[in-house]
Amino acid sequence: MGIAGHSLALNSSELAVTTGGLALLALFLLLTGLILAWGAGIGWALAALATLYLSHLYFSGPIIGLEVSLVGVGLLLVGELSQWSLDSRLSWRFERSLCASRAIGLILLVAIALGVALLAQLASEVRVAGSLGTVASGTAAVVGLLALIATVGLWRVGSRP
Amino acid sequence: MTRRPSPRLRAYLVIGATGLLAGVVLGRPELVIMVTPLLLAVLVGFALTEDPGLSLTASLDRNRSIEDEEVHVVLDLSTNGSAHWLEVAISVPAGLAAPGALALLGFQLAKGEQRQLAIGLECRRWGVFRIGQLAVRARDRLGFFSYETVLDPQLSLRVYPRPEVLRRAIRPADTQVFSGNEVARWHGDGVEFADVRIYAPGDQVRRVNWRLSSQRPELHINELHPERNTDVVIFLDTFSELPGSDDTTTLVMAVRAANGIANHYLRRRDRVGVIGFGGTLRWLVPAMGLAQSYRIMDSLLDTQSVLSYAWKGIEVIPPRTLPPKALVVALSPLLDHRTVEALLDLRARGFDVAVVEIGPEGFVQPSRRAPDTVAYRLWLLQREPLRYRYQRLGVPVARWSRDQPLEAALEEVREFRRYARRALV
Repeated sequence: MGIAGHSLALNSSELAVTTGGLALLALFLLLTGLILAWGAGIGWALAALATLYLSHLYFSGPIIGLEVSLVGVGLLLVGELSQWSLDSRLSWRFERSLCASRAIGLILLVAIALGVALLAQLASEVRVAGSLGTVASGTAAVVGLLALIATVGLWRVGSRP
Repeated sequence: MTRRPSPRLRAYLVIGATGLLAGVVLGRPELVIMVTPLLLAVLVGFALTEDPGLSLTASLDRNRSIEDEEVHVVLDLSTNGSAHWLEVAISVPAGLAAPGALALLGFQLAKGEQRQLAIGLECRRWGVFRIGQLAVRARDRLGFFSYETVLDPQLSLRVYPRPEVLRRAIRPADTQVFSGNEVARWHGDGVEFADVRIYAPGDQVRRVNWRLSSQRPELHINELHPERNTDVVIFLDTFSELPGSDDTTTLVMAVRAANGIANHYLRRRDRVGVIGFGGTLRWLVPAMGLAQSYRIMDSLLDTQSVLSYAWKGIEVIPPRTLPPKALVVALSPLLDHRTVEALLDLRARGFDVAVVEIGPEGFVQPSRRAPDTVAYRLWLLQREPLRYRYQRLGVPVARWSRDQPLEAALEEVREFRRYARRALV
């Protein structure tokens, strides 16, 4: 809604409608997920929020700054806190150590994520001459990163019964 | 244990991969920066997941209980790995209650830790209960993966009915030949004074009433009432069962009363038998002693109402279950014609019958519509001639409602029999 308001301040009604609509959709999906204990609703709400920011980027042009990192961390926080809310609600009675443990884990994750995002932001500010090779390298790096994630996942998850 | 990823993990992966590829293709580093935290979370999720290697055994602290008592399901847990968020849920059968809707507990187990948990179950109703499935779920620290399993501990719990405490019960019309605690109506060797008569050859000298004999030309002796035991048969009507607003039904009340009456007579060294007259006929031959008490409790636990349209009379009851001169105490709401006719038949065959009517009025709530109110009143009126049919044959019918103790209903029976004897009904 803040982005929609910012769009109005930019006198861009088209942007305001798009971002406002996406914001309402994201809010609806998130509330539905929390009220009905529908875990997939959180994922869809995150997708709507990511699309909301993408549309803002599309209309407003390139933005390189702390804002982008904070948006990414914000998405992560929305997902984690929503899931924590669902997990806590399903347990009738749980120990306090569970909350402390999860809170510590979440704080560490958010801190590391913010640091990595800022590193990525710094790396993106390095000027590199655009060429086919650069694009190919970037694509290969992306694929390699995804492959790394998949490998780690298979190693930790797939090898165990 | 079955491993399940959290739905948000898939969402992070999809959004992250899409953002990465879009950022590279479109040349927009903001997209890559935005999804970096999500991809990092996915990596962390994969890195943190670990099969907890949970082992769980469940047992009951005791497998026999009485209504309104609490038993505990004891869980022994141990893990080979860490279980940062462990949840245990137990399915509770109807008739038992656990604090909380699902008895779901959340706690933490460190690697190699062993722990014992106790889940309290309130026994709200008698019966045989099978503690059902036990569901366990373990999550990693941030809940990216969960490991679930369902166990069937096959625990059986027997909850016995809460006995109604009786100070006095119904005095039977006739006694049996064995020694017991009931004062017989006929004369013989005993303690209670009965009558005096003229001495006849063969009478014991110690029974001579010297005071009377000194005033009379002949010797007179005292006649006494002997103490004999009785046979009691508890007749349970299992054709119909009316549910109440709570867990109490007419059958629940009947079983509690049967348990109390049986215990009372067995303590007096009388013989007690049980007949469950309903869709399924069940019987227990009269016997005495502690073993019979346990047999009766076990047979009462299996009592349930079974729907049946087949006509049944007392001819289906084995003769050994109804010894001659036995007192038959019927516990019934008198709703089914088969039970009504069977009791009248018993009386016609010379058995001493007493009926404790478990008032169905307390289990029926008429609506406020005028036709329903009239129908309800007509139904109440129809029950009066039914009671009169019994009373005309000398069978007392005592009404027992939910808010009354059983002792009050039995006092009504005693009162009727006292006046009926005088009126020679």
